Amino acid sequence: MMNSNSLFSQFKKFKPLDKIVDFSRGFLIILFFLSIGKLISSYLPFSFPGSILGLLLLFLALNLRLIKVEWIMISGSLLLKYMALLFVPVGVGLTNHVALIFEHWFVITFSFFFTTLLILLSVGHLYQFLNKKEDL
Amino acid sequence: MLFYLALPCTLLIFFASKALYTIKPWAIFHPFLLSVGSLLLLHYFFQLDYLEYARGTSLLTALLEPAIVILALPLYLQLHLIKEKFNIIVSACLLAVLLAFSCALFLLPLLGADLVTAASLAGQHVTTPIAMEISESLNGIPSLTAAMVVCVGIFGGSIGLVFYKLCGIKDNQAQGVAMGCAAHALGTAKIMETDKVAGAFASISLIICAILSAILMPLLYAVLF
Repeated sequence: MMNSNSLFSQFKKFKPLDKIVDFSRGFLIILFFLSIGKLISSYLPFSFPGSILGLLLLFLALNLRLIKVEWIMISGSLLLKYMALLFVPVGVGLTNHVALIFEHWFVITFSFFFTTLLILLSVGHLYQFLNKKEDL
Repeated sequence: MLFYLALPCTLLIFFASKALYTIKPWAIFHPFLLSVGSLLLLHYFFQLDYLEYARGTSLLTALLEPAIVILALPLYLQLHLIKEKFNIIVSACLLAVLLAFSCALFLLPLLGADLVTAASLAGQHVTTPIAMEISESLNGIPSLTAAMVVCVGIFGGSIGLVFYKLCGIKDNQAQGVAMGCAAHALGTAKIMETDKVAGAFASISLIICAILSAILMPLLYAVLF
């Protein structure tokens, strides 16, 4: 009796297993919302990414307390931390478009500098203006 | 052969780049740029077949959509901090989306861009997974968009604070929101180092901006083109 009890408590202390269970639960929740989003988007009359619908639905569920934050914390932070890795294969896809980039290098560089600075400038000033107006 | 090597090689190169970036944190050594750059060189020198490589790494690409869904988590965690400013943030983000869209699809064709390039550049200011969705629905090239997104993030993040000083944006909330709209997660990480408040505003505006772009850009494109 004693023996099995201590075995049980040892089993409970086995943290990696907890983590794996936690991770899979979070990941399953994410996949669940993704598939609901995709299902809805397939019935929509216009094309809208199912993943964005999934994002909105998950956000709604979090706010309605249907899903607890702790449930998706571990898998979520892991996915957010290594997100850059997921795009590497897509980035390597540039190898198919080298000619296009050389042809349009001027437009690409222009839009890169111009649009970034324009957005920083105008959004910054708009927000600063609206924020001041609200404080008065 | 490449099919089996693609995933381990990508992981190896990515984590090596990440390690290098922690030793020498120069903007140009960003893990994504470094790993994509070296993989591109490998493709060029060994004449690798990209389709085979893409099939080998499909596990990573499959995780892109869950990665979008999980953006609800930071949005939820930050929301209570900024509830009373929500309206201003949304209007600022709306401006950013309209500017990015009109610059890419009205200004760039005047400078000689074709529609495919212009459409690929429309989403370059929002976070990568959503930018690629947008690029795809505007018939752009997602891989060009992904690379541009990272470049824009690095540029915005490194020039942001100096630029704010030059043009008189002193409100740290405004600095954060503008950074989130223009330079997404990379700019947000950069501004977070110096100012936690600005960082929180940046991270919420980057997600709102991304959601608005995903909703508005395909709609505008369908109506206008």
